[in-house]
Amino acid sequence: MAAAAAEATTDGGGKMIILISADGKRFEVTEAVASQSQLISNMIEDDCTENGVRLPNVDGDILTMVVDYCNMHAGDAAAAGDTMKASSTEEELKKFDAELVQALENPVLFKLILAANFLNIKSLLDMTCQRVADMMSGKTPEQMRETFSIENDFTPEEEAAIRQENAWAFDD
Amino acid sequence: MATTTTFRRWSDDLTPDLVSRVADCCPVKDYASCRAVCRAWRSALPSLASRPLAPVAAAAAADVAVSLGVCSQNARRWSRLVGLHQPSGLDAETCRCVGGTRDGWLALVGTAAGKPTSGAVLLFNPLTGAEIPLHASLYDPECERAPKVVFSPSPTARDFAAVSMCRPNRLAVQRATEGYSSSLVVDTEALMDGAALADIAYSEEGKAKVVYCLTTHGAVHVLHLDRRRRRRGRLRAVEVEPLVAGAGAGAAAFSTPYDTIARHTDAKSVVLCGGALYQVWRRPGGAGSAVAPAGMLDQRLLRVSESEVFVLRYDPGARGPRWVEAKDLGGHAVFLGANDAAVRVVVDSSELVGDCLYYWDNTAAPEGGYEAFVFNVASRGSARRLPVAGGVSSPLWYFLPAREKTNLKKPVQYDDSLPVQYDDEPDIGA
Repeated sequence: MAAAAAEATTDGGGKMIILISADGKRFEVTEAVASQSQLISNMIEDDCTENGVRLPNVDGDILTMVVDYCNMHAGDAAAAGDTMKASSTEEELKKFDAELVQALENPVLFKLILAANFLNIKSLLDMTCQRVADMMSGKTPEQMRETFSIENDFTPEEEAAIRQENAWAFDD
Repeated sequence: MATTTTFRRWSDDLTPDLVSRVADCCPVKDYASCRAVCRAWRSALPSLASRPLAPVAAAAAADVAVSLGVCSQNARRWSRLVGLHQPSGLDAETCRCVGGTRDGWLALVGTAAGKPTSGAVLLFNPLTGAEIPLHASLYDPECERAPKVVFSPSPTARDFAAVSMCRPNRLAVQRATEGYSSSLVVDTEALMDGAALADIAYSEEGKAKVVYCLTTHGAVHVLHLDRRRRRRGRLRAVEVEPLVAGAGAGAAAFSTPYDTIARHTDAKSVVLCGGALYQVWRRPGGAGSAVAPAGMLDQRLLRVSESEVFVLRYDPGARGPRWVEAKDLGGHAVFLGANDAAVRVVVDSSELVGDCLYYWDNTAAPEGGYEAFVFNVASRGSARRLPVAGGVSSPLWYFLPAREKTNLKKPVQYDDSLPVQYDDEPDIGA
């Protein structure tokens, strides 16, 4: 325990940890950046990040995005430690977030949601879910199915019943 | 038989709680559309009609009078519904919700639009935009306590009944029948042995329209709205009579120790649920505990704790009417607020629990908002419903109208294909 504590403080709280994606890509990030993930933050507390953190559910290209996001947002979480470092302004962050999710193809967006959920990064999860919600905005159930390639598994009778049940929500 | 797809569709990976998290970010119409996408999504998303909503603070800088939110279990916040109509007769900033029914209608009070010096009260349906202005006597802006307005289900401008507890000792009644409208004010102090009003509840069974009026002593009086006959175009006055004849101040109707408890529970409500009449007494949070002798002849000390809840059911009984301790609510989830007491839900979703009271308390909430609590009648345990940050502006529950399913040829069942799971079920009795 004592050794671990000493090690953690050697370079002013900037201890690095290694994240390893499903396809073996390695990402070196500071603890402050990584601990935006509640999952990793818990692992850091439990001292089990020594040999790198394997993330078998997250592909390298998705993890690249997650790490980019966390690097950008580390300013919010670790502002107290590093006031001199030019932390990203709120406007820059908003622009970065918008660009991150705007350009994504649906399958990638969904993978990002799953990664944010698995890693438990609440702000990223909220943002990606909101993006999906925005994409569904004003769409009929049929248009939603097209957008997300979902099969309609209701019978025509069931569909008619649903339509009737939600009549107030479907009026145009 | 559909051909089996050899590749895994990415949308299959979304777990029910992620589907629900996404849908909770959606406006109300989109949420309903999400439920119609596929079976998996439908079973992940509780029907909006079964989910309790509440008036929440409007988005910053939005000039809206009525803003309703549904509490998102996953995101632990209130999600505002957009696409709601707004009333034209009220100034948005001053608007308060003071009543609601199960079928989507609200009662609103505030400053009249364009007339900063006069108040206005109206019935409003935020889903259709229908608006019924009520008589000025139903809202007294001078009275510090917000009024409570109860009204008939599915009101129309030509046919409705509305009763407002506009002052602690005054009821204002407005009725419209076939377009003929009349209003009157009833001073209740003399009729109710000097006791102040605590709560009112509207009931309509067949042609019998009554309002149950509960006093701070726990006595219930019945206001009959239907004992009227047209006499030369005029409506006869309404009648008020005690529910329990000859019960005096009401205390006589309660057996020890409830006669004592009645004096130490300031928050009282009357609830009609599944044909039974209940009273709910609560010692509000922040009031501290009270210790008093259990009764006239019983000098044992009785402790009524802060936030303690008592539920009594009216028993017309063969041996004379009385109020008895309720051990259940007939399986219903009952929502207490500035609602018409008929608001109740037969539990059909995993989010709500039967035989539970859902109520509001504003003493513990930050910034003067309201917090939702759940009281389990069987275990007598009370808990915060959700650890959600504030934002609820009126202590009211709102339910979207459920559509009748009776005209369907065969019953449709979707919701059993996948279990709905929430990380944070209401923690009852903890």
